[in-house]
Amino acid sequence: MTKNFLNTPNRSIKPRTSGITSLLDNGVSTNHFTDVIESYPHLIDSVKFGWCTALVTRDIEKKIECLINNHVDYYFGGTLFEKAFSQNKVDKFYNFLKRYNCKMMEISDGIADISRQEKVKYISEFSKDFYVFSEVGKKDVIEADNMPISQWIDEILHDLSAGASKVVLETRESGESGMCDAQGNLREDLVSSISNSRFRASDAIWEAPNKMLQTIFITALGPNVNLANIPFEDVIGLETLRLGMRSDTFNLFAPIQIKEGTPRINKRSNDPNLPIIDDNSGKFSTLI
Amino acid sequence: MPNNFLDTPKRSEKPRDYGITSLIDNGVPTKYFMDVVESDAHLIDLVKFGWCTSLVTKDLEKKIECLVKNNVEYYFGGTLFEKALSQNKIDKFYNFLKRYDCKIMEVSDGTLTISSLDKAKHISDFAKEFYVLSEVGKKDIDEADHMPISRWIDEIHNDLAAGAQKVILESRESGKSGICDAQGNLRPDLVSSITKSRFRASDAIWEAPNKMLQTSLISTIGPNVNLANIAFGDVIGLETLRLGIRSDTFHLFDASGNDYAVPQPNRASFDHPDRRGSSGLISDRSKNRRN
Repeated sequence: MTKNFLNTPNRSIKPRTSGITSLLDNGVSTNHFTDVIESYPHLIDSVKFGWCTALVTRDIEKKIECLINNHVDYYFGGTLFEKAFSQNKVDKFYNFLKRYNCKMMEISDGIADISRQEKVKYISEFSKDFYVFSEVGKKDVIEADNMPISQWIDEILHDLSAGASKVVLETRESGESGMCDAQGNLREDLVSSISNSRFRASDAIWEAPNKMLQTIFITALGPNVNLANIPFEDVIGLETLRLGMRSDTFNLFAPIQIKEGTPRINKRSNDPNLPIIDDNSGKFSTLI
Repeated sequence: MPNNFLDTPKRSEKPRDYGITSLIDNGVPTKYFMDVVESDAHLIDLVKFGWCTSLVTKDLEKKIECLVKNNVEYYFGGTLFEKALSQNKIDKFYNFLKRYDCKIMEVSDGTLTISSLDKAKHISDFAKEFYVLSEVGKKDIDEADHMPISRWIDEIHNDLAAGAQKVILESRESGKSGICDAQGNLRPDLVSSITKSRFRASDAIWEAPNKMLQTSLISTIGPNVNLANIAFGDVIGLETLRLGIRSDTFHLFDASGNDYAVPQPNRASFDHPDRRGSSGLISDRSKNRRN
């Protein structure tokens, strides 16, 4: 690992309960998938196989095997549960989860018409066997906008008390519904109400499919906010956002200290093979 | 392959004549190209090397080799034909196709103005040796908007009669021209006129470079609509749209996964003798070959 010689916020290490980064596999090709996982297993906590992509992914076993080898958890998108529910096939859905040795699963009601009672019932049933994520929010922009804040909070508390281990707050893959309005902007009243209510920050996972949303959540809720629906291309980029070492979050964490006197300028050699001098210890640090 | 335990619309299997997914290679890197093709070969029927990208792609042979190995067909974008024609180099263009052992080729007049007589002549010439795709529609939005619907229908019929196996309906790489308006919405009057006219649904391939267009066409025409210009990153996503297992098409198909009835009126009236009874994209191409 490269030595981080900067002052940066403390990040939790795996296995994490807060500071989670969950990726969305929207159907990435197999070698790209294993490449990303093998490159950044220290920064990836879980992978969601988005909606029902698992059903048409020939290499699903290969992908899962790679996750297990790299200690990354996985689960199938809530749409798979909803589609199975809408076709009265929850039992077959259960078998499917067992077949792929899932430890986690997601229950959502973003699309199908599932009553609150039914949702809570499924959460408590599945939580006997699985670590359950329950998703709150609607995929449809108008429905989501019309969902009062009190209902968001209510649903979150109910789902948690029914047995959900964490609640996933919907923004959709495009970042244009749920926590966001149709223009893709975060609904700040909603976020502050949710983060001020009676549950722990680590109980919520925020869907943040783009840099704008990632920046907003990190700014509002701190570097160790749980984030989901992260694209495969964004792993390193997100980590640098969390650590305040990307322009978007540059001024967030470490207060700017301007020392008196002329700032010292390090003369750097142009020879790329020379080791970098660590100014604090005076020792050489190497890039591993 | 995972066991699909849900009820989903019936999808055709390779080699497909209907339900085709055709990708556009706009110059993706070689390893990524191979990765996608090898990962999702069961869902990819065709790859088009977009416009003239093939001429500056060092690894073209490697890409083609990967396609052949994975039973994926390929062809070069119509712009290559048009540029060659504009320079009086159709013979060299022909040699280029032979050099890369092409079975399929595209004739288009999206950028260059070609008389319908000339277009028909090129189609029928190439049809002697190739499975010809002809493109209808203009790349320029103004021109496309001014093309009356009757002319779209005429051109489609003329191209098929001249020997084209399928007609590609232009929306451009951006999805903002041809069958779409400048905002990227499908032109419903145009689409319904085309689907109501007397040729088979399987004769048309619709360019659908983004999720919005894919969703509109699947909703209007059905899960097995032929779609082209699909991005390399969209293969799995598109397949889930077709199957109604993504939120955008979740409610489209009924609980038992029944397909829409796809209208195929007067099938015989438009069947080219060589194509009758053909199954699969180019399974009958040998009949079209010169001895």
